[in-house]
Amino acid sequence: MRFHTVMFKTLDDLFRIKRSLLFIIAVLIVPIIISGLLNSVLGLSTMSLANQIQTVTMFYIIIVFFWVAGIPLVLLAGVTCGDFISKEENEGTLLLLVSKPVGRHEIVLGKYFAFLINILILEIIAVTLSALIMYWILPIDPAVLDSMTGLIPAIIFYAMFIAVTFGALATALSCIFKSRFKTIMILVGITMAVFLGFMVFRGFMAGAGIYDPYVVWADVNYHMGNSYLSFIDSTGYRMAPTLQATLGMFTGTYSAADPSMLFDVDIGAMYPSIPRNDYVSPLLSLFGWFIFTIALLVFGIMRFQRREIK
Amino acid sequence: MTYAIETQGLTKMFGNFTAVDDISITVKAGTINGFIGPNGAGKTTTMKLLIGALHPTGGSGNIKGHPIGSMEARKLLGFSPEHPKFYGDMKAQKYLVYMGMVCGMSRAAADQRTSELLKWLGIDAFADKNIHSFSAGMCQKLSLAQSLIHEPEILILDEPTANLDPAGRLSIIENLKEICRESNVTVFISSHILAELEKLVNEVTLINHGKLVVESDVTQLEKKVSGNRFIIKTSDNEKLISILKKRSYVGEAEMDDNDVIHVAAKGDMTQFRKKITQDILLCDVWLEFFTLESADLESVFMKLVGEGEEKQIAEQERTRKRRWRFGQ
Repeated sequence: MRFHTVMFKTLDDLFRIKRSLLFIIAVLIVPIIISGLLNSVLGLSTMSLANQIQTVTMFYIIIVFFWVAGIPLVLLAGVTCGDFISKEENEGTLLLLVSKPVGRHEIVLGKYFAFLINILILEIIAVTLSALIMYWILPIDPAVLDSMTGLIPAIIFYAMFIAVTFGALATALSCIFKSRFKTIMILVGITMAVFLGFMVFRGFMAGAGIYDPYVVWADVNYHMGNSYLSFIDSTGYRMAPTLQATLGMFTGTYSAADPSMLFDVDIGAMYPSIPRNDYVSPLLSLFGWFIFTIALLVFGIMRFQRREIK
Repeated sequence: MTYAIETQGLTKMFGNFTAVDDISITVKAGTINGFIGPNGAGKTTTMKLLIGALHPTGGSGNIKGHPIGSMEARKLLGFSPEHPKFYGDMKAQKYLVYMGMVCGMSRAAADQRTSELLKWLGIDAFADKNIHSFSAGMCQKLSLAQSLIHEPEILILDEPTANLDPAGRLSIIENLKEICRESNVTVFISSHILAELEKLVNEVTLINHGKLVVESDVTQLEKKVSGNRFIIKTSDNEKLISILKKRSYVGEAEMDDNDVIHVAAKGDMTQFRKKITQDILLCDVWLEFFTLESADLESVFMKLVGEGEEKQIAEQERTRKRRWRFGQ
């Protein structure tokens, strides 16, 4: 009851029209720009249907991974969840709240679950609109839209995975630090590390010849890519080699580093499929992220239980 | 006996600074206890410890037998801080319903209680106004309303009349009197305006420098403070005071602007009464009145805090001298 009360109040705050519109517009800018560029660069209208489906869905998957359910979502998680406790404390409203017979864990979880519901709805809108925008801008067959919409459930699951993990991280930081600035800076640092830092780390380690199955356990970027693949795999979607190469480059999930794995020199074209780096089962990567998330949240709540509200 | 509020050696330190120092207090159920002390005495910190917002460094406390900060303890408590802060963009009605539901009330019950409280506090006309448009007085009333929303058995009110104009203060005090009169709520209230507090409280807890100075029934405390002080008015006060100042049984004798002699007895009270009567007769003056001086809460406060300050200065001086001698 008390948990629900905090959750519904937070939902009220999160579903402000201005905030929701701002996020959707920010998220849709990239699909609009890329669709415009693709329209002028690729001769989609002259492509076969199979080629259209392969090319457009590939860009859709990349846009969604990095943008629609990627960096802006992580930043939103940081700004929103990072503010949950620190904002209430800095504004003085937390003192009255903690004096009431409501568990501090209920306050944290009520706010956290409100964020997840908010993201679920915003992402359903953003991911669907991204597919529709690409369909409206690009001269493509309706079957391409069918192919993209077929991926939407998996993409929503991935978006929720990002919201669950980064929301938990930001909520935990908000429970630990009073300063909103500190929370957001740490989160930005972690985001950069997850999306970019570990990519460099992996390249460096592979270059030095020490990127082995033990080191891979520390590569959170790989585990995120691997988790993403577990969602895409669940739809039965067969990735084009170019998409595999792109994901391989950014997440290490495919052997994109070795050119001999990409091109068949005899016929001068890409292989139909690039070998997958099955260091860890995708489900295990997903499970690992969830365990990490729960541990973070529990740690944050424990710190909040002991926190002094002045 | 289960007290409404009970602490045993409650201590709170912030780094090396001791804000609350080994305080043991008891507040009986159904009483109105005035929690007084100078600025920085540790009143707000103690109250925050009682509601569970701060965690004690040492000692413990109970709210009707439940440990402070526990869910059971907080169910029994209503708290209003000195500077209440609200969600400014929320409407008063919605805010109170939210706070009620946070306390575990159903929406219907919270709605009904909110309407009752807003009406009772005279701010029902502002129920649909955003809180950020509220005046300081209305904010204090709203804070009082949120503390009462779940019908708590104990109210902890930190300076509920702070920063209010006389009309606002009077209005809050009247509301508090009504709560005390019509319900069996235990009130633990701090305030700087002792004259107002005196009209409200029947027990007082005085702290200074984080330490408990006194905890007593107001009337007894006032008697205790004024126990050896008398006021006398005669037809010739000048003559009488000149004699009294020479007497060994008189500790202190002085005349105020209203031509009234204030006398502090020294030694045995029976002897004092006997001897002073003889001196009045000796002066051959006509006695208008001779009575025990009544002390108000403010004079009690000034005397006890003043004594504490003097003791502390004397102790500091002794320590300084000891150090100086040791250094020699």
